[in-house]
Amino acid sequence: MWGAPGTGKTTFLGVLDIALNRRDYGLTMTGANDASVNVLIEMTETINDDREFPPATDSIDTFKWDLFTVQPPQSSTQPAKITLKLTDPSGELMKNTRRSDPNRKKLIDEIVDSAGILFMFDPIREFERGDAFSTTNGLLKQLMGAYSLNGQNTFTGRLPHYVAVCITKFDEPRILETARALNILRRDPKDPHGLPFVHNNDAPRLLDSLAQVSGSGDGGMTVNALKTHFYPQRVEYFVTSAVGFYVDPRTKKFDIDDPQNLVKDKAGMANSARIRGPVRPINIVEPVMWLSDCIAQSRPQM
Amino acid sequence: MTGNDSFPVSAQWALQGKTLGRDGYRVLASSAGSLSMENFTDAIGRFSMGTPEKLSNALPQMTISFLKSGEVNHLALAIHRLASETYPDGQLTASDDDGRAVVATSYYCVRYDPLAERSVSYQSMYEAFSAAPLRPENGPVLPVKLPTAPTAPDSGAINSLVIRAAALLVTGRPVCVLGASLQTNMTDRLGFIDTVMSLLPYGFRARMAAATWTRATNQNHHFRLFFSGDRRDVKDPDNVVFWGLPEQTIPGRNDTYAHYYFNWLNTGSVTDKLTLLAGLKTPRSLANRGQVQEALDEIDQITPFWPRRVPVFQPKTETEPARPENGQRPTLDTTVPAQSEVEQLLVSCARCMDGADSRRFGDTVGQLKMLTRSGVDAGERDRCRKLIYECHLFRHNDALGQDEQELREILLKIAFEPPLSYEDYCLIEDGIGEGKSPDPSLLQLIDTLIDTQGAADERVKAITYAQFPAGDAWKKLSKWYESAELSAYQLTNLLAFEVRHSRHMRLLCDVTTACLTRKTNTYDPKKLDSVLHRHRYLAGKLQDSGAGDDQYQLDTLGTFLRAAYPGGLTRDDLYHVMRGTKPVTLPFLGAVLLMVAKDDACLARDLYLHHSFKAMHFQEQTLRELLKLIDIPEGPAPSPQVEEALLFDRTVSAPLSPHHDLPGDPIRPLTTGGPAAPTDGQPDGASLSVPQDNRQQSGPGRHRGRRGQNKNDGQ
Repeated sequence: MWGAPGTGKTTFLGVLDIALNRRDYGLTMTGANDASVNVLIEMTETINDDREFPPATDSIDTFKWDLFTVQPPQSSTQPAKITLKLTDPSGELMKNTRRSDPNRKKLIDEIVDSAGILFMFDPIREFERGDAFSTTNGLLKQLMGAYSLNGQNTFTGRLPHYVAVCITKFDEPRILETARALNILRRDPKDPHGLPFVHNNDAPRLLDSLAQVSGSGDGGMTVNALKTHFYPQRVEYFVTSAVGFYVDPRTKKFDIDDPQNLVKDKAGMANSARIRGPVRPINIVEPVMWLSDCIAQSRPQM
Repeated sequence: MTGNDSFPVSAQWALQGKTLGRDGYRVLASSAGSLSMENFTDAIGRFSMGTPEKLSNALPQMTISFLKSGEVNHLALAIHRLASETYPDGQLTASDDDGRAVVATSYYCVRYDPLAERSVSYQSMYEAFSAAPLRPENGPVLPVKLPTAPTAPDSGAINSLVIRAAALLVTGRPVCVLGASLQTNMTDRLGFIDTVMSLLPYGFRARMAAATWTRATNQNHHFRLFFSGDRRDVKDPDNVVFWGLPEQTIPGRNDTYAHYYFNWLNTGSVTDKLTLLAGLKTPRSLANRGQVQEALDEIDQITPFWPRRVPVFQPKTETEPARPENGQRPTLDTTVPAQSEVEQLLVSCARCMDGADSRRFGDTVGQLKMLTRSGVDAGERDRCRKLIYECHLFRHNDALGQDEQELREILLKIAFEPPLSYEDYCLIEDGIGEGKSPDPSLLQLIDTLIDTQGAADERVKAITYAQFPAGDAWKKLSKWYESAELSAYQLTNLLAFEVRHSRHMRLLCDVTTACLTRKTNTYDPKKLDSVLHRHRYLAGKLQDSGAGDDQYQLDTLGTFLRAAYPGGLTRDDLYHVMRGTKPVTLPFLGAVLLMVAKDDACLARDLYLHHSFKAMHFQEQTLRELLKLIDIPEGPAPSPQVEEALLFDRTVSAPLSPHHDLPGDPIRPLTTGGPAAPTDGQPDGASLSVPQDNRQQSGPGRHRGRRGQNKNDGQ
């Protein structure tokens, strides 16, 4: 997981199990150790039952979750298990002021050892603070340095990871509005709630558009940094929302004039933001499965 | 606290929290001391407790850490509370932009030295710092008062769990306390940490990091003692103790220090130990094995770890140490088991060898190593020797790897008092079992032992060296031979001694014949003959010892004769050797026949028959008739040397100590009239005298004592 503080890294992971249960992906999930099981239960409960966001990550949390492909009865194919080792760092570690922090170094080691990155781009934070580039660039340079040092002459200047760029907080009205303005909003006719989504092919357009309104003016550099530091064919874009859109419990339909599933009370007071209704994650399982498939295919077959 | 029972310290501090605006957690305010905001950011981040769990008692929590600024050590304590509870007045943001509760971390640090001087506990620090809440604005360092007298842990708090946790900490691996989540609050857990640390040298606090709680998914934390809900999934797993369930604590492989320390803590008065440990203030780290060893050595010097006759750290069988009664601190288990701890471990080693349980074997050997650091007493040494014999503790098993070598080193150290005697060597072979010779690694260990501590008996050296591969064996023998410690006469003399195994006799013969044939210029054949003559040319010895078959005996005896008579046997020589040999064996006759002139062969045969008949228990008349039939010509008169040898033959059953039968240290015949006069003209090594049953002698000093004793007996 890669992203500045508050970009929704932990929440993304926290709704993964909810997303699997909202739709039939043919997957089930559990933790591969006690700690991971417990955190999975706790995060799901916090978001789904308490309708709160999980606490901000302190330091680096490491989860090991197993995803099982669920086979239909009498299926002749073997069920598959995908073990996700997810490193969820505190967003503070992305700040360049922490570049000498031993935890930051640990994070770099973890990324070097990993094959895939879930990159969280929070357009709201970028609009308000515009620090995506600074939090990304420093870490990218340290990563490149680590590869250059280890790979010596074999390092080509691009990092080998598969990167799922998640444009988060799609449920925010301003993001939704931008997508609508770009005419890239789609709806699945089979979806009973009529929830909107942005196809992955259109996601780069949305990202470019949102990057242009970066608070610092550096949003475009973030996008370019991702394109140049990783192999373009290994980068995929997803427009995501952890909590999803609000669905009117009476009509069971999505209302474009009342889309937000997050309500904010008076700023600065306790419980200033709450999840309004049932959580319906958007594009949460997809980036994980995309990464998983890419990594599986890139590895030599036994 | 009054002025008398407290002392002032300056606490540098920082307050970490969040403000609205998605800046994340950061240091919001800090003191104007030597530490900068960046220092505090680094220190707090480095010892992060991890993401708080969703439990009713998830907060407050406390983390204990340290930092070093220049050469100055500081102890640090961070209190993590909900901002909404700590600052109900809203001085600090209670919820972030996503409505998540903000955790306020109040971080305090003070110099280590004044705390160490008074052995200040973490609890005292907590109480003092709690009384000095932090405001979210920069300010001066805080004046804090800490108690002058160290706060001794509650005697009831020193229970088996605490002792086990303390013992496990010295392994260098972190200790995780599981199962305490719902039963305890933060101060309970801090009390536990403090009590555990009171059972370790105070100096370890200078590099100690502990947490009253940390999340198991926070895998990279640096705490050495911490509470958690689950185990960390890490490559090198933590030691784990279970709250309220000390018996479930299982020490891991190579937890030697844990066993060692556990036993020490369980022996004697805990009060004395607390005082001792509080006084050991040198800053050290539990993560540094060398520093842990230093601390243990320091303790050992003050209060020796030996003897420790207490049950070993056996998690499945050990019971909770006795709780204190009448307010006394526990003196813990005073049970003296039938077998000592060392014996138990040796038996355990044998069982592991039986089952090829290399993991447990390694643990056991590790414990044994620590327990025997200071050696064992004489009584225990004897019992260990018995166990070596009974359990075949020197047997070899490839599966046991390096731990086998460690066990052998321990055994050689505890069961064998230097220098190594022949009886000791035989015990080692008995410890291998099945009449087997030492394997190469054991042989190397014995060799090293001989090199460093010497051998009480030259037989040990000869037998050991002879078993090395051919080239190495000769190198060693040659070096030994040329070192002037040894002569051909001594080597020959060694053959006269009783040996336990025919294999040993064979090895001694091989060594002797090798030296006699390769180092011909190092001895006088006449003197050698004198030695051989005294030992009856060793014909009977070789026959009785079973060192080799007839051919081997013939070859060996022939080598001896050729060394003593390089020009062959004349007729006079023939009389001399045949008279001097008893019994005259057929291999000896063969050797003689191969050395005499053709004309003397019949005489040799007749002499053989003559002496053989004489050795039989025939009636005198029969013997006379038989000897008349052989009718050998009368030879030269027996030499005085021969007479002397015959005299000895009537009185001795064994020769002298193999260690002292040196040409330069002639041993003279015992006389009843006082010390014997020097026997001028006698060859070195041939001046033999024989104390009875001197096989028991095992060292130079003891040998001399025994000689004196015998002499006195003789008087």
